[in-house]
Amino acid sequence: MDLKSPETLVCLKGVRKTFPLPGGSPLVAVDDVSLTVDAGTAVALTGPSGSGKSTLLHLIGAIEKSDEGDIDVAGQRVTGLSGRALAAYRRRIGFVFQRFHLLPTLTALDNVMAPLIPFRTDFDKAARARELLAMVGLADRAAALPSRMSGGQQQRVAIARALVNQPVLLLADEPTGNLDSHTGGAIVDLLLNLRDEHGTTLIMATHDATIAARCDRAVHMRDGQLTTEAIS
Amino acid sequence: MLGMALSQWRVRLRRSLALLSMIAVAVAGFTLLTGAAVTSRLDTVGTVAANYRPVYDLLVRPKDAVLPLERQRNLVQSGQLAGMRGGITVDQWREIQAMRGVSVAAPVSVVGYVMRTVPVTIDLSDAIDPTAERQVLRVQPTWVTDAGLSRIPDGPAYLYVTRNRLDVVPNSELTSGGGLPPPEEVDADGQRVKICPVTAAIGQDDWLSPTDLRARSSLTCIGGMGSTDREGKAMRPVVTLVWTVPFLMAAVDPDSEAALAGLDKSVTSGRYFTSAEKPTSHRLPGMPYPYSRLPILIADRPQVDGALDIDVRRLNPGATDLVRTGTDDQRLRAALASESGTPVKKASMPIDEPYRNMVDRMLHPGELGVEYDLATANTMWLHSFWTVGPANVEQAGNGMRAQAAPYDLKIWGQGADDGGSSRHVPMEFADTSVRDGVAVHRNMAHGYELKPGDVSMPDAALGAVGTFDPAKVSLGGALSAVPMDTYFNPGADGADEASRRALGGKRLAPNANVTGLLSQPPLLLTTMEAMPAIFDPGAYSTEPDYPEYQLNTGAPISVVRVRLAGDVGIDAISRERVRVIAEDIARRTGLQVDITLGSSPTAVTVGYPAGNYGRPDLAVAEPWVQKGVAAVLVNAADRKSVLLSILVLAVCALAVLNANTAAIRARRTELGILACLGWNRRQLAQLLFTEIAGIGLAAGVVGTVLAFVFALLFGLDTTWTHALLAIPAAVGLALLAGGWPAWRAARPDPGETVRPAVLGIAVRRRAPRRVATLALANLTRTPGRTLLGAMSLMIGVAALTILLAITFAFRGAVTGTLLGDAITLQARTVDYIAVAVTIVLGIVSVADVLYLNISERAAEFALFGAVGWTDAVLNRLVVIEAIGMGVIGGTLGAAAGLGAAAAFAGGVTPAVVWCAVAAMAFGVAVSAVSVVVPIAMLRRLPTAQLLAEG
Repeated sequence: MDLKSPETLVCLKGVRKTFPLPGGSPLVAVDDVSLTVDAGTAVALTGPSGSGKSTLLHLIGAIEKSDEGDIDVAGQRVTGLSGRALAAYRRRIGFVFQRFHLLPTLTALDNVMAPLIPFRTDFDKAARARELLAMVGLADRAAALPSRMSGGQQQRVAIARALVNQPVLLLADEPTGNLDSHTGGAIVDLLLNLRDEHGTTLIMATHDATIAARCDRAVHMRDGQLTTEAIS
Repeated sequence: MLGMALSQWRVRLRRSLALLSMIAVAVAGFTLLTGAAVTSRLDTVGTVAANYRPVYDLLVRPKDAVLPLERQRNLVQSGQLAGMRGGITVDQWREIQAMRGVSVAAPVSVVGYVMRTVPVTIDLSDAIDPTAERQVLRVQPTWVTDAGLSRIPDGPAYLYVTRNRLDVVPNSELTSGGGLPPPEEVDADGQRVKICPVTAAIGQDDWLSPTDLRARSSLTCIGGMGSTDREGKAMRPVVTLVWTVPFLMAAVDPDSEAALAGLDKSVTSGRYFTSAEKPTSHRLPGMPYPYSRLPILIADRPQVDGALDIDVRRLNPGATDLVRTGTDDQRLRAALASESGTPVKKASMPIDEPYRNMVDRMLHPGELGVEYDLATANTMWLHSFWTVGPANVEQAGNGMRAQAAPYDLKIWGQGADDGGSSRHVPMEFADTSVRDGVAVHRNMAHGYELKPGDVSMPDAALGAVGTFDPAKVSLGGALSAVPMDTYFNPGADGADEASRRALGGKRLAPNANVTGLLSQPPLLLTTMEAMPAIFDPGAYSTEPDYPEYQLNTGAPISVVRVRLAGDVGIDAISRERVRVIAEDIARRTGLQVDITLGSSPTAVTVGYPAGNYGRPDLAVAEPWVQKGVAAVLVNAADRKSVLLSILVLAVCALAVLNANTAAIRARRTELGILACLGWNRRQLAQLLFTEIAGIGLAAGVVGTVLAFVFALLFGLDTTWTHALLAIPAAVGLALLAGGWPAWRAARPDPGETVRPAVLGIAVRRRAPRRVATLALANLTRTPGRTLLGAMSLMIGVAALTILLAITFAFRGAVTGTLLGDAITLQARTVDYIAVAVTIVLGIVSVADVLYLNISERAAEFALFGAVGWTDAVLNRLVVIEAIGMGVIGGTLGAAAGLGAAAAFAGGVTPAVVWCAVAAMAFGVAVSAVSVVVPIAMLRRLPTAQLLAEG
């Protein structure tokens, strides 16, 4: 496989990440992982708890730093970024978390706008946020606080927030993990629609095989390593 | 229960240690500061006590002697004895003396100025050109005073020197009424030329001012070998100048002065006098009445600023022709004045030597035969004396300004253009006068009618019994000098930069000009028993004959200084005793009574108009006395100690309260679970109190050690006993500040306890769309905590405001006074350390609040990082939160400080408001400093873990 083909958006090569453990050998969370993801595709990372899915997403999203290996996203070497460049890279990535991480004191609209707060933009932040809320079906809940919203609604707000910077890559870490299956299914529909309608590249960690099956690719992890890969 | 508490300390080790450290540092600081504050207070009181009691406790003056400025600013003017005209009767003095509780009542009765003269001989041997047959030397005397600023030229003395013989008619051959024949120079060819013409008789119309230079110039002629003067002595190349000293004379009670100021111990020659010493009665041959000789003690140093500069020039040869051809003495001297010449000699002499010479002559007066000779200055007759009024001043701002008060100098005597016999006043009299009311009092010999052949002399004379050294008279230390110092006038420093520069760093001192601003202290002292010789009706008559210039014969005493019996301390009872006696004196005599106990010297700015001889317009700081300084100081020291101790303790309590609240808040879930498991409120409270008390105990032990170690390191006074106070203080503080949050957390409502704290936030009207508004919104998420942080800072700012305000008010009350300055310096350090500690504790509290906020909102911060917020933006968020707390705390602190300052200092001045504003700005600024640790913590947040866990 040509790791540097024009369609390749994400390219990982020999990535390794360990965490020190008190009084023992370090925990290897990601072990020599190489992976490419083409632009406009949806990739599911599957595997049991503790297999390294979230860590791998954090490494791609530059939330964690790898110990070894290279990570390139949209032609940019992620490993080694720091300071302003790191922050700028993160603004090109959208992240959706299992626990939503909405700011409890902000309304849905303000939560969507939160990533833009410190920055000047040449567009109307509120208008974009409303647009995104409408896109995730929450146009009428813009003024609601997270505490007044259901889990599914909160996750939609989180997805809208992840999209506010028009990311080239959307990383979703167990986006349905805290939701019932019906709501979870709707969230997956939403994420895959983004791929279909906007060409958003999606890497989604999930332990749900059904969800994984709906993605373009499913990559399985165990003990920090990629074990199998299936193309749907 | 103890086991659970122990496991809590172990599990939450970092938080427990943080709490322990905070309490330990707080109580150690409190222990040290209270110790230092007590030491500082003791130092203050010690210094005050040491300087509390001047040599006299009360100053009694006539009511009209008090200036409005004194009343307005609680001052007593100093050094104005010369201008006082009495006003207290001898009976009043005796009444005060006899009052219960009065140990010494020492009166001062100002008589006036007595003029004495002394010859100053200038030897010109070394200025003469031995090759010249004839030459004329001009000796130009210049009096230098006012720290060198005034140079006052006197009339020149001319010396005609010829190598030829001069023939003069000796005194023994002079005929009565025949006039004084001029000397004759016998030239080499035998020709005789009359030189040095004698002044014609001076008519009344020709009288001059005694400082007119025409009346002060002289011409002396000396010849070569074989020439003798009118007394038959060989002629010497000398000119004799006359130096005149005005002596301020006052009467004192010798026993009282000895008891009060140790005047008897300051006698340097002769003997002291006694209170019972009356004038002795004498009679001269041919005198139809007896005269009184007043016992006099003379100051052995002049205490006036002055020096004599001599400039000698040899005049051009044409001058000799003027002398040889001149027939009129006045015109000749006028002509010589315009002649130019060559400098041949310069000299400068301080006045001390001629003064000592004069004092020596006064101690050993000559025989009757030479007593008429003014130039020999040894007559002790009291023909006349002069009085001058007080300085002519107007109030100007916080000080005063002296106004020029010209007067006719002929009141001192007439001058005459007769060859230099009129130098009976100092040339300094020609300078600007700022006093009016100059009057002369002439002896009337009690109206004796003289018969032909009677010797006409005053019926009063001075009989020196000894000299005293004013420097040896003890009237208190520098910090507690008293007003109306009878023996010393320290002079006045420049009060502004221009004046200090003009004075060249020197001090303006009294000079011989008795109508100048600063007056000399009395240099001649006599006894109260001698007063009738002067103040009896018929003894002296006054010119001008205005009532206000007359001698106050009925009430001759100007001031009475009162020392109370027994020990008088700084305590309230002593102060009350002094007040009661002061009021008693005032009530019984109707006189003005000022309490000098606890007073301190201060400076009052007086504008002094420019002089006629080079002294520019000056602003000088005249030494006055501020009353009641000691009481203000001690009260302020007491108030400050109490206030600062309370503030240190309060800020400690707030810091601990905040830390405890946060610690317990972090355990809401755990406590809720325990409640669910059946623990009741008492048991939960017991657990929490055990934990907090244990931490308090450990903190107390650590605090004790810290206090002792810091005391040793920084040389602070403390003892183990005092340091051990840290233990109960720490336990008490921990329980007091930790008790409330513990009691609240121990409520048996598990549902409420375990409910997340941030739920139920109301919808705000306006959403934060900027980092700043988001930061401020964050402050309202835990308003109690924000308020605690702000209040901790508030206390520091309030303390700073109060300290600045008290300092200002304090300075207003006592600064400028020597004692106040000494104490202000002494007290300032520990106060500012205490305030610094409160502010540091405030910063720690704000930092703790931020730390807790970041801890609790770590996931949010992680999210912001994950969505691309830069570190700078995250830092800004924290800094703005800190500044927000700083603004709240600073504003509240400044307001509280202003309120407290108003209560303590009795009012708020614009300066104090500015202090509050400055303290508030400082509080806001230091709050920004508190972000250092929280931001460092922010850097270490486990972003990924937080995002994964939520």
